Amino acid sequence: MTRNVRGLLAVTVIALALSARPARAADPPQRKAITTRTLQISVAPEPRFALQYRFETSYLDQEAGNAAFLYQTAVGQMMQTNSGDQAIDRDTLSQWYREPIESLPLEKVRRAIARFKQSFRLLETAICRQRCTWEYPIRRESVPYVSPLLNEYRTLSRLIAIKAKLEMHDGDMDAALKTIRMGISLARDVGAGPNYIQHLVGLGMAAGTVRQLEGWIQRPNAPNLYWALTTLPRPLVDVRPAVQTESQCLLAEMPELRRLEDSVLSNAQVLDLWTRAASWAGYGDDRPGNVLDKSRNLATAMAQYPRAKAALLEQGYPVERVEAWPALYVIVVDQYHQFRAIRDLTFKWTYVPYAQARGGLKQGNVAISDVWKYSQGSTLSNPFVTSLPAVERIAFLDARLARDVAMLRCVEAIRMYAADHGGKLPASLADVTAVPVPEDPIHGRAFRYEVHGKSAVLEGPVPPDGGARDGLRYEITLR
Amino acid sequence: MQNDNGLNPLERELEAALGTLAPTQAGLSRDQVMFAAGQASIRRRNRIWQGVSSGLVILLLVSIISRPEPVTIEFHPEVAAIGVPGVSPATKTVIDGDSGQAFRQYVRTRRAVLERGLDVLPASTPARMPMGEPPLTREDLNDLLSST
Repeated sequence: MTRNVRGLLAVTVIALALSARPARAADPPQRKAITTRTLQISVAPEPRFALQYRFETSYLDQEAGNAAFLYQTAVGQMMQTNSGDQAIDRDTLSQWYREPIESLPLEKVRRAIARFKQSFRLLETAICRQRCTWEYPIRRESVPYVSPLLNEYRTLSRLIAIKAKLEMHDGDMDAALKTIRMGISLARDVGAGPNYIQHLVGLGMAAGTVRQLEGWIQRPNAPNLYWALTTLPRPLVDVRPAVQTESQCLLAEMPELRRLEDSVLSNAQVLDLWTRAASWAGYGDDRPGNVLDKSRNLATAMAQYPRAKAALLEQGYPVERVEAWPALYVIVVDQYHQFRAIRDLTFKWTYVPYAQARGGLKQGNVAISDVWKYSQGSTLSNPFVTSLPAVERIAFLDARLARDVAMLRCVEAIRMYAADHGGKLPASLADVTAVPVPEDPIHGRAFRYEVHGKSAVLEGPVPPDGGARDGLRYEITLR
Repeated sequence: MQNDNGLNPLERELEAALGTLAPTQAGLSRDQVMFAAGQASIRRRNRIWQGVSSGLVILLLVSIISRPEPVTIEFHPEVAAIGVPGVSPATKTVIDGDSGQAFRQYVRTRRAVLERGLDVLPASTPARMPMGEPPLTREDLNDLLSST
């Protein structure tokens, strides 16, 4: 028996030693999966009038007024139409939205879409308004207001996309262009809303609408949209209003933070501040008062005090002043400074093109992670910092939309080249000289392009830490 | 025919044959029996140990071979995954009079959108799966993921 036990122990030791080395270190790196779409394209020269096709309402067609109210009305009208027995359910709508028009029950789809003509008419009026201001009472209510109708905007956007697909199928390209213009304008205005949730909704709508252009490009004799895509604003969906609100909303919610150093808070006042912060930071669920147990917090706080005090002294605060302050006040002042530093470290990179900002955005994420690790997830892990959103990911999604538009511009540049060179694909993107070929906004370099006879591959690669959906490959065949 | 002992010749012959047999010394002592029993018991226990050891060795080898790549787990405040379909818990976004509660609701909704996608937003459009519709496949799911 002893021999067997010894044998078993030996095997265990060997197994542990083997498991200590990095798993499969010698395996070759695997090629990442990537979203792949096939495009059957025809040659298409630059239009006679280069700016003939536009995705924005022309200046002369614009009217004074705010589009937001008309958008809300169009959504309300859509909800009213889409009620009762004839309502299109979400699953059917998703199916019509994502599947090729040829595989859909055309007459049924046509009848269903025709029912929403009133909403479309309101949208046509809305996109001619000179501005779109979402007049949410953020400053007064101290909260980033989220419209309860946001998901309905997505439904409306999908109806627009299906309408455009129908029109392209019918060969009515002018009507399709008008409809896509409507979809892009709606997405752009919704996405320029004053918080990240609304911005993400706008991004999703814009990406879905832009994708309909893949259908356009594949229609025989479809006009070249290179310049139409080039005139789109960059970024197509403005993130600045959301960045402004998101970087300031904590101060709107807790105005005392802005005046933190004007008057010293007592320990009890700081505990009250933490209790409120902890509840929205997700620690307290629905019982914020119970979760922040005062005695436990005091014990945890005392452990943080020496570091907080040292940090303030390092910043030049007089030692006698800091020592005279209540201990919890010293900690909360340090936490607030830490929050401001990390917030600015993160948000400043949203003003820089993504390819240049990626490293900085990651630094911000690491800084937040470090705060979390330092406190090991306790209730006092600086709740102000943990209120910060995933700025890095949102910036990437902005860049991904820009990448989609840039790749479509590339395809249009290729169609233009083929029209000028007897139906031949360019051997490389550098051969396209009639118009500028855009770079990949995610990586800050040219898209990968390979040609094999009458087919080519255009690829925006998956970023190192991305998934299949974060990259895009077009497998292009020239008719 | 029988004699006076009541035995017939055949039986007498057998008696005589048996009478020539000399008793031999017994082959098993009590101690030997006890020793053999102990040995048998140890053999059984050895087999159990051998079985357990072999099983553990196989498990260890399998776990080493099929061990997944090491994963570095980091804290991310929010992870965005736009467009994950089908998860529509009624996340309330109604802003009430209590600013703190409304702010908490906003932070939670934002986190839910970034973690699970836009479908967590409340919707009035009915979600209805027609009867007989086949269940979603992985390909369907991928399509949906890329459709938002």
